[in-house]
Amino acid sequence: MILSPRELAQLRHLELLAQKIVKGQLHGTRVVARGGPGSGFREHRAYHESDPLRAVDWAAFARTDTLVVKEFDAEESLDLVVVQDRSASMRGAAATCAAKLTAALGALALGHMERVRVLPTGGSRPAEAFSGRARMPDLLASVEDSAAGGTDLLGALSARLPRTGGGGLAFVISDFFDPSGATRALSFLLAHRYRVRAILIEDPTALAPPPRGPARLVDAETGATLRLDITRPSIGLYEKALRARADGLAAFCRRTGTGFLRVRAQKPFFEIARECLARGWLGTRG
Amino acid sequence: MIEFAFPAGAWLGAIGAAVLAAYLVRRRARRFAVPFLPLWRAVAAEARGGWGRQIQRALDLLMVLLAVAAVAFAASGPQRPGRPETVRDLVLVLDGGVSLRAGTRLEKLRRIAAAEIRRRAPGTTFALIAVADDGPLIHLTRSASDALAAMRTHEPGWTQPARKPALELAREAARRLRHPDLVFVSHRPASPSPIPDGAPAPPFRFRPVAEPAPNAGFADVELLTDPESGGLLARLTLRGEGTVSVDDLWSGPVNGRRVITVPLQGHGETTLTTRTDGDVFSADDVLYLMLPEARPPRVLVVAKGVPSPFLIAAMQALARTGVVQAELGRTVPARATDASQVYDVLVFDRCAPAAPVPGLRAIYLDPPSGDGVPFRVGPQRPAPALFTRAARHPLLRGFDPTRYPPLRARGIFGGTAVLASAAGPAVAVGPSWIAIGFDPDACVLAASPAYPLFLRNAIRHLASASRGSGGGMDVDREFLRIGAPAPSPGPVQINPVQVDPVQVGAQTRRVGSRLLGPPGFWKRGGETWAVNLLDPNLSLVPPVAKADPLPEVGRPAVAPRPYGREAAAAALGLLVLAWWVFWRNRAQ
Repeated sequence: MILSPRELAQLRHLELLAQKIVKGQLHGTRVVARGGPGSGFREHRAYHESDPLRAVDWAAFARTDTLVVKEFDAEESLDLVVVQDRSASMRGAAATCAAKLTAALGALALGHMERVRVLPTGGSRPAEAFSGRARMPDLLASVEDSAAGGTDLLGALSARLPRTGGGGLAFVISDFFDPSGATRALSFLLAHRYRVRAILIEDPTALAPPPRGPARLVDAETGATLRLDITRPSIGLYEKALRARADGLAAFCRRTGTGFLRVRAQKPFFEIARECLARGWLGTRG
Repeated sequence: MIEFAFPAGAWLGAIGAAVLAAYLVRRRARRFAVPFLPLWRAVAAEARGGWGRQIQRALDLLMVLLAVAAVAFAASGPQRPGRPETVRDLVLVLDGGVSLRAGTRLEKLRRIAAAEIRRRAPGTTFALIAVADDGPLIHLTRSASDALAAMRTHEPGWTQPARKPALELAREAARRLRHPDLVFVSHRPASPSPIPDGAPAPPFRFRPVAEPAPNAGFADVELLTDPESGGLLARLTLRGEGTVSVDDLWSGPVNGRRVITVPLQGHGETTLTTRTDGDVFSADDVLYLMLPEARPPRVLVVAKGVPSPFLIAAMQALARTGVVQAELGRTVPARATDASQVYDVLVFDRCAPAAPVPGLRAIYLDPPSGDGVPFRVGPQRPAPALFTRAARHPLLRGFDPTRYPPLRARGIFGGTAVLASAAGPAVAVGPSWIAIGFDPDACVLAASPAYPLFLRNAIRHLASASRGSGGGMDVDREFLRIGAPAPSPGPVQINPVQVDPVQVGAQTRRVGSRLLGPPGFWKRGGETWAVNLLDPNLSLVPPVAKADPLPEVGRPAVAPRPYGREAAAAALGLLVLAWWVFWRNRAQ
């Protein structure tokens, strides 16, 4: 089990927050800012000919002798998309961390009767939609698949994201080692009117430079090799490039209003959740 | 030249260096999986660049290779090769003259000889021969300790023995030993100098270093020349007791040396030292004073025809001067060698020396008659102008050139002309020779009354100029080597070719019967025998067939000198340097 019972129990006190109401596809528990079928009274408005008669508040007509229509808040479910990077570069602690986050987000969504789509990258597993608490075990099992393949976020999104008219909340959990560009996938989601939150998983163990000396570097995803004499200057250049990549991603997220969180893979799960709370991505219930 | 004690080490080192070079050129790179290779590609593009770094890597590689090569070199045991099959035995001839009794000469001689013995390799055969009239072989041994013990028993005699028997014995020993080194340790007396005619020699002053015995405090010893006999007269001045002639104390010449014995009246032992290393020693109650040999000047007069009356008069005036009158073409039969008599002054009367013949140290008479005056000619110098820088020359003392002008002259090779005319020098002076009146066709100086003046001035000048060198201890290693002797800067020398009358064959000569040695080794073949120096088979010395009674000693006389320690130190230094370079590169 990717999440321990204790972690699952603590997740019950949390809920996903969307600072901007996004449109769901199903009726759910999330109140949206528009009128629609629901149980909560919102307001009265003047009757219109196109309104059905059963929508008229006859009690109010009796009191005021005016035809008014009773409106309720619409209750829709949140359409959550979680892009889980399962490429070969996400091995070890990074893969575990990504799986935990995916499972947690999925569990939060399913707990609130919301629909979850998990889009794994780097594997052959297709995107799968989960809804209802009964699908919780299936969700947890699906996020535990082993890592393989390359990081092609844009490819995974363009091929597997259903054409639903857009809208929703999207989490991209990845190391963003995408040869085609780390920000293209985020731009794709933004173009499809998703509220995007990028979580950069960094495993210091995997990112640590090799010891000094001659080395044959093998790309974990593509298998490409490079012979290089690892020296102190080259290590400095590598660390500088690593920092520049993360800073570039953060700058893009700031510029586009995308949420961004940089997470060390070895970080405890609840500390990550606390950071999500601090960013307003999660809320507490009750 | 370098040889290796372990040649395989050098080969292995070379192979190892080649393998290491190949390894370093393409070092085995360890495989590392990285999550995102494009990051490293950018790093590589930035980190690789620059010729400077490539050159630095090449230099680092060269340094490492040098260190490895040095280690291999040190491991292979480099050494300077010894001399295989050169069992250099030692024939050591020790001086046995009475002069060794003076001072610490004997101890010095023993010290030098002991050093010669000690530095020989084990297995060397030592033949110790003493210079004595009978030429004894002191010891023949293969043990250095025995040789040292035998050498310590060597005592000098009371005479100045002839060297010839010892040298002949050494030559015989050399024939029977393998690659012998011939070493002659001897005391060299002060070289003699001519005594000027009629002038006293400078006094010899002695200074007592210890409190002299009563009535025996010699203050001065004055050496005078006796104009009648041409001999020496020593006069000792006793402190506070007046002057005493020591004619009665003179024991006379001993083997060519003049020895004065002085009994000490107080039976005390007195040690006297001269201002130089003099021949003064005491034994029992007798003080021995060995004066440096002083000899009359030798003048060689080469005359063409009847000598001029002025020359005859000058020769008659030189009472103590050994004048050899020679005739042109007959009087000087020898070629120029150094083992010869010594002439201080050359007088050419109406004959001239010719140009030197290459390879022969002589000035030959002109016209060349096959004979010549062995006269070593120095580098040619330009003849000075008439009377230039010569007016104060001692040779011109009392000579008025305006009264006795040299009319004609021509040049001569070497020397410095002190009297010259427009045609060339008339009187030339060398380091220890003077040529007067040469070139009869050009110079009439010999026919002038100034000629005796020149002779007198020449002898005085030579006597004052050549004090003679001081004595010392000589270690001669070439005394038996056949070859050209060392050039002598001294006076003119003529080899009188002293050859024993008995000739046995062309290359065989007779040696004396004194060459006796230990029984069983040096077998004598009779009273006399002949030795062929070139072909031992023609030698009459028995046993002819067993010319080498000593078995060959298989050890080299000169052991190889290993360089392993120095090479290891250099290799260690290079290794440290290479490690430092490697560490520095890793730190970058």
